[in-house]
Amino acid sequence: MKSVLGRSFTRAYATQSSTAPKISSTLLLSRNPVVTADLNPFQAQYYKYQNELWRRLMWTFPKWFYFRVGTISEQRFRQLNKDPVSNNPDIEFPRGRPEIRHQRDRRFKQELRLPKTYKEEVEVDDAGEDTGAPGAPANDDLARKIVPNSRITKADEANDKTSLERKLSRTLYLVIRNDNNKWALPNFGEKTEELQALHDLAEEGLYKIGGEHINYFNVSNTPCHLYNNEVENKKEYFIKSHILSGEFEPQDKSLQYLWLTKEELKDHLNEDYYKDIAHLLNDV
Amino acid sequence: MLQAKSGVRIATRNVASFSKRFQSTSSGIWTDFSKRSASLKLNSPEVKQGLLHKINPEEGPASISDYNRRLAYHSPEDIDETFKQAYELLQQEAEVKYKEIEGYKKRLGEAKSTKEVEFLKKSIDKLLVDAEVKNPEVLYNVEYTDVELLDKSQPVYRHLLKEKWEAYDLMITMQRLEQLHMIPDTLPTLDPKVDVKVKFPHNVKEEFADWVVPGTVLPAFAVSQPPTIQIQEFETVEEKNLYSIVLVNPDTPDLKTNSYSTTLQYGLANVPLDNVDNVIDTSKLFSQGEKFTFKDYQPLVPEKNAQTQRACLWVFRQSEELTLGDIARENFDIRDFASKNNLTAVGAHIWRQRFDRSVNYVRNKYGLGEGRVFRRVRGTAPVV
Repeated sequence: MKSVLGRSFTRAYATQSSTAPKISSTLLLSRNPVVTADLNPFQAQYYKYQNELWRRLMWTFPKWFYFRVGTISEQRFRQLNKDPVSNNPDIEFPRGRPEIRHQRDRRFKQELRLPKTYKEEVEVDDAGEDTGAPGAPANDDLARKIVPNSRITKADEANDKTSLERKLSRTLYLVIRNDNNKWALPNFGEKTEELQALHDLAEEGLYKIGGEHINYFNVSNTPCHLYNNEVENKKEYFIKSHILSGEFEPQDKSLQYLWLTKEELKDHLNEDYYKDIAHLLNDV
Repeated sequence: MLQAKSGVRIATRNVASFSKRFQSTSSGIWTDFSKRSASLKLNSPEVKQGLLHKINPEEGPASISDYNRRLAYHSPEDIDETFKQAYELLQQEAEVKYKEIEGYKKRLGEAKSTKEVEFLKKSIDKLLVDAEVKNPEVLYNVEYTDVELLDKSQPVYRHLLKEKWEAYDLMITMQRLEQLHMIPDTLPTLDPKVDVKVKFPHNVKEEFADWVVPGTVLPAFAVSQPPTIQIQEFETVEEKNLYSIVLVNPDTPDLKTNSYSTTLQYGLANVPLDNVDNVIDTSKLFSQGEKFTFKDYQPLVPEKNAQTQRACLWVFRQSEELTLGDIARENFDIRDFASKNNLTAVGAHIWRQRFDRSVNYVRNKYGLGEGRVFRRVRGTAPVV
């Protein structure tokens, strides 16, 4: 029995090795971060603390330079900024005497409130209409308040994993559902008999599944990784590239695809497969 | 004003309840003293409270002694939360280090070759330093408590003390050794390994009773008794190392050759010391002095009009126990002594002396008779 088993085993091995593994090209297509990386809680706290320190040590605001005495704007400034408790010699201060210079207590930061040259959205809403107060600006006024765009996009809110506009601070990778109904990086096998460069193979395959409206940058014609797919008897060479603009538009309606971060890839990909390629993926 | 004052009084009465409110409970490796030495703790609870937790605004930080200044202290905004988070992070890192140490200790129990044992011991020491070197309590202890009270058996304290020594005391010592030409007049050079400190505890005046700064000119009465010598090793010393110490004067006038000769003023050998027991003081000399001393202490007594003389103290680490014969005080050859006994210099110290009012008193005390008086002699060469 044992000998029979052994023979069958070796035979199976022999037949498998007799067919040479197929060469294929796997595309590692990434969308690089669009905005700066997210801070971890400690970093955020540390920057907050440093910012407070900086404010505590900052120069006193030169009010006399920006607001000439006796003008209306100076009056408006004074209305907004009340003087700190004065250093009255007749008063005892148990928590230390205030050190007043130019209406600032130098022991603490100076909290400045400047007369606004714009209207806040809330104010406009409350009034219902522009009251015509000084500095009510048109939308294209240079003095309007600068509001940065949100780091969280609509795609994030809708949790649309097929959008390229999601997770702006992270690197995203393209994965598709392959023939075995499993998530994997897009893999393109050689079809013709004539030899074809790996990066050409990858490009051809990408355009075929995702349309030609993709502007991408191929990092190198040399593959960055080799994955031995023993199940399908394939050698998968990884070609690394970045998507610069355009959109991945699936040509086949049934094709499922996702743009995922490294952590999400871990949940979607086969465990062994992920372990093999984890070092290629960006943590940021 | 009365109100404010009475408010303060009430606050002081409620200190205990208040400080509890300001304490955040954290349980990590740095608060656990079951495995760690108690000497890593910051002893004053008030200072510890201010260092690790929020400062009670009605109490102020305990590290400031003046009451009014203490109350006037305002901590920077957001420092408490930031400190807490940083402390937690560092503590977690330390915890990882302690786990590594446990692994190494297990391996040490099974290790066979001496090379492996040595490697493991070194690694454990390094990890012990890394695990504690960012602990605020340890850093506070090194910065603000008396160095002599620190527990030098802890590698982290030795590491921090070594950094301090290298930043100041070592530089001063090396500068004085070179500028006063103790190097190379006595020994060719020095690769410093230990911190050598010298003091003369018989002095009452504070000026002379404290540790001597290298290169100081001292009066004869201040050095009339044998010095206390502290030799601080920074590496781990498991079993006691043996040290020998010689004090030489390379400036003894030699009239015959119209030059100078070296005199041996003091000689100690086979002194066992380690990281903690590192002082050769009067009590040790009383109890074991006869065993160590191969040449009794005789202070430098520069005679009148002789130039300033250098008292050069050399500390050697011995590789084995020495058996020394009778060594003459005069015309002592220190280089020959070191090479013959296979000694490596690890530290040095220097002070200077010149003739002063107390020299005659010290000469009498040591039975050296009356000193000579030098004066300039016109040379034989014609003045051109």
